[in-house]
Amino acid sequence: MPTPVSVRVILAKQAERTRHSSKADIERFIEESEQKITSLKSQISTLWDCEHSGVDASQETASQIDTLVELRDRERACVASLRYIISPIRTLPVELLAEIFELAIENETHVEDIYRISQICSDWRVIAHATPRLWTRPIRVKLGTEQISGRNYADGLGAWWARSAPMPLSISLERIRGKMDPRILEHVLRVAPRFRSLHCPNYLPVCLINRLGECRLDSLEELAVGLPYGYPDTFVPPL
Amino acid sequence: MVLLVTSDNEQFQTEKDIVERSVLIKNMLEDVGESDQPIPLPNVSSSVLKKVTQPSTGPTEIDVRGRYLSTASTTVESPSRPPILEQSQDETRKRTTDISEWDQKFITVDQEMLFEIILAANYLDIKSLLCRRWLQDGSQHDQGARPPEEIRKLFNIVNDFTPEEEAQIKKENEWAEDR
Repeated sequence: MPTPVSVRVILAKQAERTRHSSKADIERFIEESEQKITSLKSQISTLWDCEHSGVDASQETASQIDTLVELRDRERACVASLRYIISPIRTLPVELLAEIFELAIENETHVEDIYRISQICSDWRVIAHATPRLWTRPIRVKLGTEQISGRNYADGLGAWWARSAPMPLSISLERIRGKMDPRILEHVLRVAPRFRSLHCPNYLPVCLINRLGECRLDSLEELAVGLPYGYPDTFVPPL
Repeated sequence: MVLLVTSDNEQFQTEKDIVERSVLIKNMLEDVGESDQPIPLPNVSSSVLKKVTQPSTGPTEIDVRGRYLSTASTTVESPSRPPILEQSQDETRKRTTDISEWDQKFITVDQEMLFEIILAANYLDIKSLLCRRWLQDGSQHDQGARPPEEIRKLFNIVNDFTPEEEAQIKKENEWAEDR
């Protein structure tokens, strides 16, 4: 099997190669690479036909095909990297891109939106992770073990809040079903000093109230108890 | 009317209520008061200013949003040969939809102007021109979400994550399914 191509390594190499190149130069590099790809595809096709028509089904032919496929994939990664290097989106400064990310995130789907942004490429991921305000929209938190399937919920929530630091947070605790998950509780208590808005169900275990009472809630501007979920539309007078 | 001078030294007589969509120009006008002096815009070319100062319901919004929402997709025929012989590794790993060559060319050409407009909008402080819809697609996906692969194709972005990193990212995001 061909060796997997490391796109990141190729991108770094092409960035280095084109550091002093003009856009026209890079377009020419793309053209050259595309010609190589066409040639490689033709060679692969010929060998593949030989192999499958029974003319030459040797191990050597299979190995040659693998080598050519690897070369073709490398060349394709080169083309993709070069196109990225001259893509207009790269003219935007990082701060502006972060601002556009913020505009692009919808309140209702903010978790999915920000995750989608952060899985586009490593550049976007770094920008998203370095922009705390993207991770501060209201989050509903499930504390009960029966409400979660256990797949990394506590770790995911912890990582989410870590990225939002040091910004204030708005959270809504859902009614607890089952036992409280101690790991999730610890994450909640850890970020309590950053609560700007806290919505709670009309019943919370005394131990949780006591633990919250021990926290410094210096940033808290809004506390709502027993309101049906639906904020921020629900009007709650500030403290 | 307000007289604006672009980076390529073109002069534009523009209605005050239009130019005041720019917070930068609005503040300048407030600082200067009533004056016939031209306002220099050294970071904005005439071609971009024409787009930016078009009437409010205007083509800029269509340029920024509509064209990106209208990217047609073409179905790629299944290859008769093993996929690895026909597709790049990245394509093999994650193929969702394809943007037609024509649209791709159109977008590539148009993107230069789009990003110049965005840069100018940032300089002039016109928030409404910053594109909100990059992550959404009104034509192909009823759910409104533009898949990552399509965002990459749209902007020629290379997916430089290793398969291991992609698996890790997926794992990191799993908690969101429990929300």
